[in-house]
Amino acid sequence: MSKDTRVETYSRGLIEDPSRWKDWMGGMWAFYLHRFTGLVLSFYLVMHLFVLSTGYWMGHETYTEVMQAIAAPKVIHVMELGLFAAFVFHALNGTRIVLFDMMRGLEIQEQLFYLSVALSFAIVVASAPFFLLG
Amino acid sequence: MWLLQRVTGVGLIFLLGFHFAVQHFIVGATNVTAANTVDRITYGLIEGDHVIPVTIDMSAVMYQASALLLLAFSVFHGMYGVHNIVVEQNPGEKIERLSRYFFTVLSVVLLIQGVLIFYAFFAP
Repeated sequence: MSKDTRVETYSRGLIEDPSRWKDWMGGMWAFYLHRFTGLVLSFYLVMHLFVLSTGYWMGHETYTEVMQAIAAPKVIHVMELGLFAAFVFHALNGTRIVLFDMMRGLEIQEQLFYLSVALSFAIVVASAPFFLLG
Repeated sequence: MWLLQRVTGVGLIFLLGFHFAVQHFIVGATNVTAANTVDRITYGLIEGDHVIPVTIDMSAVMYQASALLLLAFSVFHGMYGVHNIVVEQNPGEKIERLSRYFFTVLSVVLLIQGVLIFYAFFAP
C-alpha cells in the first residue's frame, strides 16, 4: 500500500497568543527568520541604491571616495558577511517555500527548515574568508 | 503577484548570488572604484585580484542584462515582500491601501534611481 501523504492537522492555538513563540516549533522560527532576513535585505537594498546614487549625482570621483571609505573599516566586512548570511538563509528557506507551493516536502517541513539552517551555516562559514580577508 | 514573487525569488538566487560572487569573491568590496565599475557595466570585464585572482571577459550584454534584471527583481521582490508583511498584520483596508500606494511609489523611485546609476557608469 502506498504511503499516505495527507498532512495531519492540529490546533495551532490562538493566532493572537503572543506567548506562542516560546513553544519551540521549527516552522514558526522559519516564518519569523524569513521575515527578519527579508526586512534586512530590503532595507539594505534601499540604502545600497542610495549610496550608489553618488555615482550619478556627484560624479565618479566622489563615488570612488565613498565606496573606498565605506569598505575600509573591518567591522563593515563582518556586517557584509551578516548580509550574505541573510541572503543565503532567505534563498534556501525560499526554496523550501517554493517546494511547499508545489506540494512537495510538506510532511518534512520542520526537517527542511533545520536543513536550510545547517546549509546556510556551512555556506557562510566556507565563504567567511572571502569577506574577512584582505 | 504571488507567482511573480516566486519567479523573482528563484531568479534572485542566481542574480544576487552572481552579484555577491563578483563583488566580494572576485573584485573585493575594498577595491571597488568608478573606473572598474565602468569596465564591468560597459564592457562586461570583471577583473579581480581579491580572493580569486581571475579576469572574466563576459559578453557586455549579458552583464548588463544581469545588472538590470537584478535591479528589477530585487526592487519588486523586496518592496512587495515588505508590503506583504504589512498586510499579514491584518491592519485594516485603509492601511493596506496606503501601504500598497507607498511601496508602489518607492519601487518606481528605486527603479528610476537604479537605471540612472547604471547610466552613470555606462560609458562606451
